[in-house]
Amino acid sequence: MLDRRLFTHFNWWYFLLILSLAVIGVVTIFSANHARPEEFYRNLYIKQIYWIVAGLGAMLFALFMDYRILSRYAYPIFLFTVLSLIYVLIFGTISSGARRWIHLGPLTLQVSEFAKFALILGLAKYFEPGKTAGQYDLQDLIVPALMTGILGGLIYMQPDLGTALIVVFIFFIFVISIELNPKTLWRLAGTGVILAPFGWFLLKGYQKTRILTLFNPELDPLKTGYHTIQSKIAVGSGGFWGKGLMAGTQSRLNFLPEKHTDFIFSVFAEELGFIGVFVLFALYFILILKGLNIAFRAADRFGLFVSLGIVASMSFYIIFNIGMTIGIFPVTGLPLPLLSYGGSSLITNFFALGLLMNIEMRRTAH
Amino acid sequence: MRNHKSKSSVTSPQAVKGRLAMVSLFLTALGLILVGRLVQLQIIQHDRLAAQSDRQYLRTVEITSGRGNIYDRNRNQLATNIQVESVYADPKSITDKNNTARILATALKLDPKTVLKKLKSDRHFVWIKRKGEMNAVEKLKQLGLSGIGFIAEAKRYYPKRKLAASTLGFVGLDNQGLSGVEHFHHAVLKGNPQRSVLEKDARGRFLWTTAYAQEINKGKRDVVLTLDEVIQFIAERELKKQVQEYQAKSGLAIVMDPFTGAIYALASAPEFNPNNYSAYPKSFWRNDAVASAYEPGSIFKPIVAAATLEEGLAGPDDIFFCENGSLQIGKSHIGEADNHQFGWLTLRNIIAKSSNIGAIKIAQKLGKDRFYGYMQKFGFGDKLGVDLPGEASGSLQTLPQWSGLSLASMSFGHEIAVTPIQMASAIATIANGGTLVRPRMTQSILKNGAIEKTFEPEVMQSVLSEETSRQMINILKSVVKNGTGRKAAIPGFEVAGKTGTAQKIDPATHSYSKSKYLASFIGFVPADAPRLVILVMIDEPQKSYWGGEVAAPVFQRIARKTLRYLNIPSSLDRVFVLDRV
Repeated sequence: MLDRRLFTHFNWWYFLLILSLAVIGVVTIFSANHARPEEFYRNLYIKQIYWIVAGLGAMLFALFMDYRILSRYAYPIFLFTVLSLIYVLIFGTISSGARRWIHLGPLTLQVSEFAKFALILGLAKYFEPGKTAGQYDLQDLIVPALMTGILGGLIYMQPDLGTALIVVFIFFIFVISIELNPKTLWRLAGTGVILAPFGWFLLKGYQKTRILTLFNPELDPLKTGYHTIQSKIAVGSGGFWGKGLMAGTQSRLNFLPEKHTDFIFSVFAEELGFIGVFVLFALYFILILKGLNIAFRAADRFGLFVSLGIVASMSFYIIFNIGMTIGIFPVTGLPLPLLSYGGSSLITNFFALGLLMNIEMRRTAH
Repeated sequence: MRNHKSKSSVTSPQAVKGRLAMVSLFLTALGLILVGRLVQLQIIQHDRLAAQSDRQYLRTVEITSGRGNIYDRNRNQLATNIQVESVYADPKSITDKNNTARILATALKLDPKTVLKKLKSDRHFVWIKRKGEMNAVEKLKQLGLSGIGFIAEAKRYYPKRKLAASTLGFVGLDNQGLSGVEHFHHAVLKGNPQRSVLEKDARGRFLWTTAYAQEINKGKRDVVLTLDEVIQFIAERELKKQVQEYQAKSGLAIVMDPFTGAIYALASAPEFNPNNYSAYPKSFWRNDAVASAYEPGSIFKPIVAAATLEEGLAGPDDIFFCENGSLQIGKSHIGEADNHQFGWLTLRNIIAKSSNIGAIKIAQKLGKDRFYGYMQKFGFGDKLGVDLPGEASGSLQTLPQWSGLSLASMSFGHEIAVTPIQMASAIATIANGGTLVRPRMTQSILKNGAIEKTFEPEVMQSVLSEETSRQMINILKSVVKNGTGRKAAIPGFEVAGKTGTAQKIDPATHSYSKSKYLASFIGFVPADAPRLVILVMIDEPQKSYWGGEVAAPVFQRIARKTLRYLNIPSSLDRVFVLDRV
């Protein structure tokens, strides 16, 4: 399984890019919490470094195995994930009103973080063989839609609307990418547009408020709108050059909520300004673009779909998270990949990116 | 689908890759929307949002500098500030109010019901305990209760504890000076408010940042007292010993410089600790030396004698008939203390032996009008303007109010009430060559540690000639040498002084009590070049009530130890030095 040529094909530039994003995360977490009185928060950045080390381990693991093994185990992994999600729903730990975490010894795991990955594997496996006739029809989407529905539904019930949405978007990306009959594709898009408003009734009260306050944050400036308003003030007051590291008043004076997790981008934008955001965007852009490039050049269809799923899901995380902090998407509680504090998210992302690099290496190695 | 599996190669990978371009385009479009929005927020709307940010965290406030220190004359700290922590709660974020209230009440020794009531309020901020005890707050911190926070605050601290407590006074919770120097110099000590721009956090609290700490110390003013902590300590210790020994109700001692009016010590017993003033009865807080007036008794006689000498109506060796111990004025009989029966006495001996009848004879020579004039010149009946709060003016009846007995009573210190500080100042006038100097407690004011203002000695008026002063000093020396004040004598120094044993008016009967006395001694040392005027008053001593017995030894010990501390050479020292030459 180990191929010495893998090392020569290891993409050091891509690796350094990933690492530098993680380091930006550590610095921003430090800056966001340095003035807090509680030692626990002041030392979070150190914990984040430990998580990164653990993530690197996961990445190494993803690099050394042959990703095609995952094709063989894709469905069992999917099944296992569905079972763990059911387990979480019944036995999980409740935090901020949602049942998302399970305890494994000293660790708390957020299963939904890994669940979307299982969906990517499942869908990649399903579409791996392709179609003799050349094009997929509507009936070929029934099984993938069921897979997405079961997984997304279980996540939605936690409730974790953000991750559930990501799961749906991953499905959409697959629908766009596979060789679906163009007519079917357009018909689907049309139906989607018509049905979208009915989705409103599926939302819970607070989720509706979040969406409403998105359009008019002043509707409820002290509660749901508060996060959006304060985050917008943080980003906007940062201006072109930013207020400087550790000098962000919005974060230091605790106007920003969840500043080391969901709203870490606001801290970054306040302190490093548009110029810093530009650099961050450039890094993410290269990360995604190179990811798509890897998908494009993947040695086989499974590799193509897995890398596509990884890139798509990561892009949606980035877009939804940043969109949330600048008030164009509702507050969904999605972390910013590689930057936000949190072990489950970091380890999953490192593993996924490791797999992506693996797929690239295998292409050239063959 | 299974039947397609074997023919995976049939599908053209190119078709899939064409769709990938669409995906890239879709993602790029979303990315561009983000960029556009960021341009809008960070560049176009930057000014508005930055202003909004400033508005919510910056507050232009008037802050006052930290309270100034109080120093003794050698810049030893008598009052300063320490940082302590106050505990507050955000009731809205406390879920288990009952439990939290119980924990808080136990840790901070508060009433659980009051705490619970505070936690049930619908505000976002309530004080639980201002300026709490350090260990208790530290323990509470470690519990990490949610919704409970801590704010550093400055607390007034008196490092020498009980020392000079009634002079220094104390401050309230918000550092308002409530008594003593703290009250008198509150305007100086509290500092000048200045406009500063400070940061406020999301809960609306001001942050104790380094910038804040710098601002708060700008323009801080300290007060330097004339008080000397060593002399104060000596006076307090000696006074306390005697008050305990004689189970007296209270006592006080004044040590001052007769030439400058600088007060070196104001001791009072019983004492209190200003760090915890509320634990003591209110009567302990009062600075009796300036705020209370007493009938002085015999220590007043030298004033009458000095006035008579100054007017040239008698000389120190002129003789007066003391009626063999009984004098009738109107319907009243006046006798001598301890039933002495004096015949003819010189003026000097009238003072030395403390004859009441002799004092009356001297006062009669002086006459009502001149007597009254001298009382005013010596500063009685009116405030001296000492720089301490609550100064009493005492009581000196105006001439029309006098009865036939008034002149006689006043000549030995009754029917007149004087404050101890007035008494000390009057004797200082005799000691310093005849000038009444305003007594004072403040030496200087410091601003940012440098002297801003110095208080100079202030002459109020000239009362006696140097000649009279010298004659009186000699008379008062004989009190200690061979009169009632022998226990005030200090080896190696000439001491001048006068004893006093005043019967107190019993509030129940409105007549003079047979058991309640005010024992006192007033004097100065070294007699011919006085450095210290010392007054000791012991109120209602039990075993003995004689001023010469109870108060004079305290004077002696305070004076002896202070002279040594100030390195004032005694005649014994001089002999020793001469021997060596």
